[in-house]
Amino acid sequence: MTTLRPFRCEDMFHFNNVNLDPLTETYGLSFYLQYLAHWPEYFQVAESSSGVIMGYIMGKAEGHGDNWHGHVTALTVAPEYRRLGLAKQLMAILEDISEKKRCYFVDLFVRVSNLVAITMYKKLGYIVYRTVLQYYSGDPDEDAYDMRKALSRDTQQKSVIPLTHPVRPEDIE
Amino acid sequence: MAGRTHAEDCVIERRLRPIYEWLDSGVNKKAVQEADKVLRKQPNLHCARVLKGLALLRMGKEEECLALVGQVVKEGPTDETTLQALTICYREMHQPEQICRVYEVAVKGEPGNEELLSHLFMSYVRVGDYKNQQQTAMKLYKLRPKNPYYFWAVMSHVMQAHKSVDPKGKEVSLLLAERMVNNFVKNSKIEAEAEVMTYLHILETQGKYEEALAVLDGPLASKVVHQPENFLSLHRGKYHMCLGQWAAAAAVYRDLIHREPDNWQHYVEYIRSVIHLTTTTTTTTTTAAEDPLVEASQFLSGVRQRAVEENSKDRGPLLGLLQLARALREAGKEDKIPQMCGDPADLLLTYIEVYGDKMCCFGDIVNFLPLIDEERVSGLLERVRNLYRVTSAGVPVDVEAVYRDLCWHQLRRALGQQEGLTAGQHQSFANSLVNLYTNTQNLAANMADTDIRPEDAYLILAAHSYIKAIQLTSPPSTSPPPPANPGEGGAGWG
Repeated sequence: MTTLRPFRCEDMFHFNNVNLDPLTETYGLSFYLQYLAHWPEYFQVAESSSGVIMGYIMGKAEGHGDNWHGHVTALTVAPEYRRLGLAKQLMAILEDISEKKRCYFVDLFVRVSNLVAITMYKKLGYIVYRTVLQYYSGDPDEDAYDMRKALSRDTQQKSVIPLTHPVRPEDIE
Repeated sequence: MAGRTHAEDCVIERRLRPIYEWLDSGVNKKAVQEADKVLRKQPNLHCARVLKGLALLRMGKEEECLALVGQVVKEGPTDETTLQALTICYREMHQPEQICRVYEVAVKGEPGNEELLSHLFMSYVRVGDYKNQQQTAMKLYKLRPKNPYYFWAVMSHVMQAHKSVDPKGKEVSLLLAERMVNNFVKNSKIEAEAEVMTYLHILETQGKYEEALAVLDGPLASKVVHQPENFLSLHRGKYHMCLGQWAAAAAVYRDLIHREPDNWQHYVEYIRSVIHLTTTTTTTTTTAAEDPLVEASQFLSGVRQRAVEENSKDRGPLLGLLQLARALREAGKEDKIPQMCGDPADLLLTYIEVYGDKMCCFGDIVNFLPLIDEERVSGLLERVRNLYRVTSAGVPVDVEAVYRDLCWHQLRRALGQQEGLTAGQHQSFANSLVNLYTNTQNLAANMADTDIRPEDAYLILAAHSYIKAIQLTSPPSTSPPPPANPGEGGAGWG
């Protein structure tokens, strides 16, 4: 029993139990505020009946022509609320809004070592479109998979024909 | 300043580029050198001087920057590049009001320049000068009648209202904003979703919920297209609640529960509307068939039944009746619980049967525990205990059993089963929890390092019991210990 509602600024004071997980990035304040200002409809929170933030999703829509697509910037669920199908619900909202905006596809980046996440996205219908070398900076840098799912506007499913070769971060439009 | 030709602009841009590049790389000394190079050729070039000032500022030489930049400002620059550089300078000096002054001068020189007016508007936004904001927005709109400019003015009125301490001033600003929007509505000029949302916001802030409902029922609602499915319904429900139209609200939320059976806020609001409906309906005039509580009870039971039959993954339906019971208790109508909701202990047990093997279980039900009467507690706990297997030593046999055991331990503690223990008993209990931790580690040994292990919570529970043991052993002091004197070395609270 999850309340799904828009993210509010004050949620940033209450999302430690989500963000202190090792695989969740915590960004600077301006990053969250930019998303709240530009794409508030994509910024949704799942809250439990006891008022604890269970997880949230951040996204945007960008690109020109048939590259107009929805993008998952961040999707995270607190460890104690995993395996409840919450990520699926949050992704469904993002995909629904992307459909409403007439996007051709949805994409996201995920660490190649994050098997749990990759499996989950595959179950939701995403394929690995291409590998982006050293997308994640760190010690050492790590490659990312760019995973995609075609939406109804892409009738020929052109957006999900995988590339045969990896790309570098600079090559991403 | 006299206008430059396009060719001149290109040359200048080329000359300035190295300065920008050094600034971007953070090599401010080189930026100063490059700027000086340019200034040797064009000593009065505003932009180069400002960029030099910016580099000096970033080197910590704020005084020099202020002097340099102040001189340029006195000369009244109007070109975009200089103004943008000045904006960055003043922002980094935390003097955003100066940006307003600079653009005011520029606009006075070129009143028909849409770009400059936009920047002027932004400069007022930065400092929250809503009055000037609104006037600038209207100037922009008169210059070029685009909807966004009009609505910038509308929002400026709204911001003025929000900031206003005087209720009359607030009322006036909101009315102005509403009138502006009404004007557009009448002339069919509303285009974007954001404009409709602004309209709703203005009406809501004034408490004009009837008018807001009218908007939802009217053609404007069709412009709200990029929101989640439940967006308009949630607003409708809220407006009915604010107007005290409980039956209408209940209907909206009932429909939302049908469409989104796991969305908890729908249940909470639905039940809230029903409770209000009950208190405002006299019992003498309603038959059992019309009693809103009966209707709610039947509806929630139906939802629950369906979820059980379909083996659904939704947690909400199984908790609906418990929330009703909780709300009844808070409204002082505890006596109705058995008839409307059934036995809270049974309802809890069903939930724990289905979800007790998940980490979230205890957190989900913790708010419903006050519904359990004291004499039912041990019975419930025993039934929960029987849902999973432990070895003869009391160690859970698999990961699922660990989660269920943890839930049981948390329930025991929350339901007061550890209240009467002595310090020694708390301590040995904590020891036993640590043992459980050690003896169950093998069950989840293959998990990733980045995941929480199921047995970790035993240690948290043990820590609580240890602390309790400590508290019971050492007598509570009447005053906090004195802070350690920094001059002395020595023990203290570090």
